[in-house]
Amino acid sequence: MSKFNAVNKGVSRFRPAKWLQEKGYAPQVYIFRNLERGQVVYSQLPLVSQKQIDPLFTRPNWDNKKPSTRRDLWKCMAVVSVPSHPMAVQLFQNLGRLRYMRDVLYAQENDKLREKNDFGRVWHSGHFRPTYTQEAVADLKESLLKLEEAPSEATIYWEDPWRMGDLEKYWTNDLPNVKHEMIDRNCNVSREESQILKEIGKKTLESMKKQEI
Amino acid sequence: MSARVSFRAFSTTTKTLARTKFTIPKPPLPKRDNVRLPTQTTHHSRNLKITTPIPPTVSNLKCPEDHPLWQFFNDKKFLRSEEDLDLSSRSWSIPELRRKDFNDLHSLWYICLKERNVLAREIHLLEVSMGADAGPYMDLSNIIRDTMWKIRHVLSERDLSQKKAQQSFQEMNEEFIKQFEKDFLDDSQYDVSESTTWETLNRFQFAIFGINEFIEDNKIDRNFVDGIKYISNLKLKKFNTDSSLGEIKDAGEAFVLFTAENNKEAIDEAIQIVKELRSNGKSVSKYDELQTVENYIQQLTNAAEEMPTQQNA
Repeated sequence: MSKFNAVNKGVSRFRPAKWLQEKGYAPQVYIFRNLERGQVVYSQLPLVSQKQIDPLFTRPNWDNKKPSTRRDLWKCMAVVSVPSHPMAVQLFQNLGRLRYMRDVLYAQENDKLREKNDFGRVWHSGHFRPTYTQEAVADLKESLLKLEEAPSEATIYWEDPWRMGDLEKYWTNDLPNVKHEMIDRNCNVSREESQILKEIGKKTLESMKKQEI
Repeated sequence: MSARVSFRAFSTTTKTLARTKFTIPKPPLPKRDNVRLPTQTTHHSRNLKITTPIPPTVSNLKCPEDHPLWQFFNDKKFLRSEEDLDLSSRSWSIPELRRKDFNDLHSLWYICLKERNVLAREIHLLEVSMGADAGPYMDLSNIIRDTMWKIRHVLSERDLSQKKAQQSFQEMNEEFIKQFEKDFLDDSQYDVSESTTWETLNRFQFAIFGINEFIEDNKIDRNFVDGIKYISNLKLKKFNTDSSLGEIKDAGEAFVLFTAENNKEAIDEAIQIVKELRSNGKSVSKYDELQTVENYIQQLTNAAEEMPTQQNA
């Protein structure tokens, strides 16, 4: 990471629940996808930086090269909003753990689950491998299911209804309390994305305040 | 233990810490009140399992019925079968198209264009994606293409004939104006009190000078100014007024008479105004005519726009 890279210092390390609460962040986890390669990064803050990428790509290889931090290549795929900050942190930890399990602990089993092309490699078109985003959706579901307190109560703001998979088959049966909402497509471009994410966070915090009252 | 302690070692730690039977255990530390609790309390769940990836699905997407891209599909079908194509049809012939008016031709053109777009999509799909033969689709597309060039041909025929007619009409223009003036001044043919008389005059001024009935829609050019001069003279003659005014040559005077209503009183009033203008020595230079008339029309338009608001107020 360049030292001139003007990024929010908040993304420089793992952040506990109290820190997020004090700094006025909503209890959310942000999922970004790489437009070029289809890889996915989970983040506690609405940003992607090298500090988010490094721990999630511990075993880079020919299929799964470490992605760049180019901001135009990262698009927010989903925002997961949970009832409390500790839950948001645990969700983030679960997602990171599942990535580690897929890449390191159960790499062989994981490879069997992936769709292959005629040559037995992970299916790809150019550099793009759709399996990573599909795994991220499966991991999100698994992480929400295994949350310790108030499991499966969350709101997921999807960028695209297409990506969440079959609603009946994968979501409503297993996680009936999870609400699915859409991020407004209007003006959801690279330049405006951070503003849209901020607004989602603000809206969540306001609704939490109302519930407390 | 003591046997292991080397006398030649520099370190004294081993020696001093060596346990002997006289060692007294240290008392436990006192309890602290200001212990800071750990800030990070959560841990990832321990029962996580990797699962099969969730593939995206189009079943979550709902396409609106009136989506504009449906125009590229026939009856919302992805691909028509060859039986669905109307291969026994033929293109419109030129004599058939000659009988249709412009609006019909215009709509027919767009129907053809849309149908060819549908066919182009299907042909591309068959040839590029499926590698199949798109022969019948191409044939139908060519039939429609023939209709389209025939529409253009008929329109160009009409355009040409209109241009020719205009050209020949210009040659006969002066003769026609003389004849019209003679007929128009004949009260047995065109009575002053009949509204048809003034409708005829409106048509005449539009045909010859391009003066539109709605005054704000006009383009002010030399032809227009000449037109209002001619029409004002014609009106004076029609109402058999005194010829003390002579021929109207000034654009300002012509405009007053031109905009006057078509009855005796209004014309008399207009004549009075013209006389006042002359006595005041007000006239419009020939070089300022176009600009002046344009200003007059602008004033008229503004006044007409203000009228309804005043009435409402």
